[in-house]
Amino acid sequence: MRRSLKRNQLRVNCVKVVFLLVFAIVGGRAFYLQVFQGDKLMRLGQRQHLKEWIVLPKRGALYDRANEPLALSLESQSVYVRPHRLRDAAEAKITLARILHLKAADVEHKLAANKPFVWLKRQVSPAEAEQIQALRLDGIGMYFEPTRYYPQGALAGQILGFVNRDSEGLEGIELQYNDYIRGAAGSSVSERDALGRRVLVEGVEGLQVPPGSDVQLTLDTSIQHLAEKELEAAVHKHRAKAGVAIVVDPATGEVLALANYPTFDPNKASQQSADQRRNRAVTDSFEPGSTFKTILAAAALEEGVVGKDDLFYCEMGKYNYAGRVIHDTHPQGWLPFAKILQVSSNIGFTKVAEKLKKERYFKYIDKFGFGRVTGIDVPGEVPGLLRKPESWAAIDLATHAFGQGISTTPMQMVMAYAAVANGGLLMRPYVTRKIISPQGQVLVENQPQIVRRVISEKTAKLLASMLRDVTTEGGTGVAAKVDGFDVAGKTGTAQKAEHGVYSKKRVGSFVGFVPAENPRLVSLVLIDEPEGNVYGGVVAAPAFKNIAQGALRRLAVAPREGAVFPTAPNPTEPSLPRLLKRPGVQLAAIKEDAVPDFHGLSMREALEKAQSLHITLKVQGNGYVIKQMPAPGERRSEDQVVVVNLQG
Amino acid sequence: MRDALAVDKWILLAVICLVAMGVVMVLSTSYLYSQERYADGTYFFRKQLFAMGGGVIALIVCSLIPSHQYRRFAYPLLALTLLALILVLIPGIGASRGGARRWIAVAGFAFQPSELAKLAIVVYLAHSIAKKESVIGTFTIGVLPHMIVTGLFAGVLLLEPDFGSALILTMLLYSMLFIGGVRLHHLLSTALLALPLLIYVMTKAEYRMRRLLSFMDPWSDASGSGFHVVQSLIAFGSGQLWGRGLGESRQKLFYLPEAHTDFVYSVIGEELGLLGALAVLTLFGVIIARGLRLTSRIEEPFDQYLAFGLTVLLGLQALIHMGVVMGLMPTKGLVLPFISYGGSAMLINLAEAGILLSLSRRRV
Repeated sequence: MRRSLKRNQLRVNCVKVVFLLVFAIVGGRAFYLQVFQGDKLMRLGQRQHLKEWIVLPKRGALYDRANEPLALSLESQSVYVRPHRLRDAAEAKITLARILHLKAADVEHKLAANKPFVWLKRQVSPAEAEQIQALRLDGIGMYFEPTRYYPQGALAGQILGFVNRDSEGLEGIELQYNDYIRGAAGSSVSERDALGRRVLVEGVEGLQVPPGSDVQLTLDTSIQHLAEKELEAAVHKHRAKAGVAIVVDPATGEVLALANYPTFDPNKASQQSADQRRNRAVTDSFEPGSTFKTILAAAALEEGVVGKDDLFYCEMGKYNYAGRVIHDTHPQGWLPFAKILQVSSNIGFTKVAEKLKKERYFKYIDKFGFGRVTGIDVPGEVPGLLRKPESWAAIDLATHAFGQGISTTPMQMVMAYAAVANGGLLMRPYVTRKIISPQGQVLVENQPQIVRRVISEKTAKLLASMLRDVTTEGGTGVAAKVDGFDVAGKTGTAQKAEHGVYSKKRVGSFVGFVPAENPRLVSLVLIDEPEGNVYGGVVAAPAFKNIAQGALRRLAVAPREGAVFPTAPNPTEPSLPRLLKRPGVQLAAIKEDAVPDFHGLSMREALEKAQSLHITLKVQGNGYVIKQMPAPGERRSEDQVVVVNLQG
Repeated sequence: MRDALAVDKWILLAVICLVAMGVVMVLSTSYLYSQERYADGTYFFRKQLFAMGGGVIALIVCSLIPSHQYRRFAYPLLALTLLALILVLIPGIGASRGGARRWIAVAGFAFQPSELAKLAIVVYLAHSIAKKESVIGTFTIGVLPHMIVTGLFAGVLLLEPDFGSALILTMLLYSMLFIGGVRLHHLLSTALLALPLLIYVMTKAEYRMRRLLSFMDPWSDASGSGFHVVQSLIAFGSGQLWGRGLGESRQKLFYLPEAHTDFVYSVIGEELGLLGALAVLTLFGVIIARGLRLTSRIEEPFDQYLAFGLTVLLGLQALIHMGVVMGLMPTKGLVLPFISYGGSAMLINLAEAGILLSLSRRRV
């Protein structure tokens, strides 16, 4: 027997006691955690496992009127890191920063985050994704996320708006119709793993998220492009701060183009300023200046207060009114009303306003839609500033007459002119034609919507002819004249008020419609804070001309008869039903019993003409009518069919 | 054949139960992880089955070797292990995973010499203490050589770094010296001298310091440094009495780090509840109780120390793993013998069990 055995035995027993103690502690701890703390810990666990997990559906696409894509959804990969699982952060840092083109310090910061899950870089390029995949780093992974892509870049950026990384529309159409575009199924409760991914357990497997609906806009990509290009050129040329250009179909209220400068590229939304994002056409209001004289003219003509040829004395450029002196840029003597509009005499219009009186004047300002939103389907629209006549001081009647002391949005102004253009109807403007579900079902379809009749057709015609004179020799808007077409419109140059005092800053604008007789488009160009020559007729009218000229070509509008005009039309295909609904179309009188002449008309004009005369038209080809059967002047039968051949 | 089976049936039974339970838990805990990483859910499971096969052979072979023969292996094993531990540190030979060099490629397999080191130290200490039995009361012969050798091994392990294994070696050293009859004041004074060193090692590496602090109050930073502990507690506790059921763990879905290795007991608690957790604890209890019973019954010094050392080795690893998982100790990264995923550990642990069985032959 060994000497030490006895002592050994004692010590082994000590160890036994220690082990027994440790066993008791471990077993007791297990009992405590699972029985006493079990409920609490389970709830804590559930809080992280069961979390409302937003399933991101694929957003619907945005198209222009010819189904040209303006916004698409793609699936891209985002790289995340689980810092707790990453072992060699120092080594990973360098590699990741290189592959993802990030700053090493930023990567380091994210890798060291005290969170179970951190996005490293979202929406990486396919090449980056491939390299990350090849790394096979523990703790670094990728996750598919839908990403929004705007194939036309900055084109119509402020109208389209943009989305955040959670596929939520934040501005523009993306926001306006977010519920449709985003998709119906928003969220579902399901189990998540630590990466926040849905875990397929207990019946949530089949959860399918239907994609969002597509939106077809009224915009015409080529007119939009033209408007943006011309606007930018004008803003640059006159070293201006900003600008707006709008093209609207006066008959329907469809917005064909809406350009803002500075431009905004929704692909880079986060890098661009709020200033760029703003859709100034609806969110900003300006003192209109002389373009507002048309409203007074319409009111005075409609109320029969003045006639086209009524004479007014323009006081040779200086007129004392209500304690103030009203000036004209070019002093005038006796002028007929039509001439007053053509030369834009402030004194003349003050006298017209005096005759009309403020209550009646205000009624028309209100009827034309000023002081309230147009109802256009883009977010952020403001009503402008319009004071009630009760609060007008004596001078206000005069200042309103030439567009001061009131502020209007460019969209309001365009729609007011559209009412003059289409025969007196104020239309609701819209940029969305229809919303189509993934199944092809039309969910929303915008129809032309008449807000109210503002003036009679007769007054509208008369005013249109007066406005046409503005762009003829001696008028303020000659620069807006389009070759081969009659343009009706009005220039405006407003002073900008700053802190309640008029500053040296100006807003120059031109708004008008073309062709004056049978308007196909209304357009406004507004140049904010130009330098040098600030007159609307100088800074805005030429841009109007260029936009109108290109848009007329695009719409395949034939120049007036006899005009020598080199056309290279690029006809669109307007849908037939929409054309037939077209209100306020004026047509030349045609002998009832003879086959009319369709030669030289565009498809659209030919269809309109045929419809108004109850003739069935068979159209062959595109462009302008070069041949028709039967020939014009032949006797027409009860249900006459005319075959026309078009060529562009 | 009768001779072959004349071993401690309780230890054998407990080991069989633990190994069987282990492979099931490896499948359960590693499936999603390996699915994500290798697009093959059973990748780890199959590797583990393979290691288990090797381990069973090792167990049988080791149990058939007469126990006194192990004495011969003491120094060769020690030298071989030291060589392997040094090779591991050489870049190009040692494989680095997640910042630690712990693996060495042997015939196409990644082998972890630190597992072998624990066995080698036990055999060495058993041999050396038995040999120096008569002078064990002296410091220079009875205590210092063992401390130097074990300290060298622990130091090399710290270079990997593998703090957990180094700690196990130190605890083995002290418990075996204690059993060997070393004077208590020798043990206490060396421990006091080693304390500053321990504090230095603990606080030198920032992550160890963070672990230590988060252990004190894991909930103060549940999403940060206390993350592992909190996730482990949530897993373990939410198993409650009966558990969620096998395979039903939620926490293994990437909330728990290394659910199939360092936190496997956590998932056992979650899936199998208090009953499963206590069953595993009891099985280790059986091994420890039978191992210590055996220790008391053996008269040959080497055999006695070897049986004690192996029992303490297996028991310590199991209890530390469980303690960590339940927040009783700072996170260490120790595997649960027989259960956690890991080929080297499985092979060596089964070999250790085999040696223990050999020691028990005709003694129970």
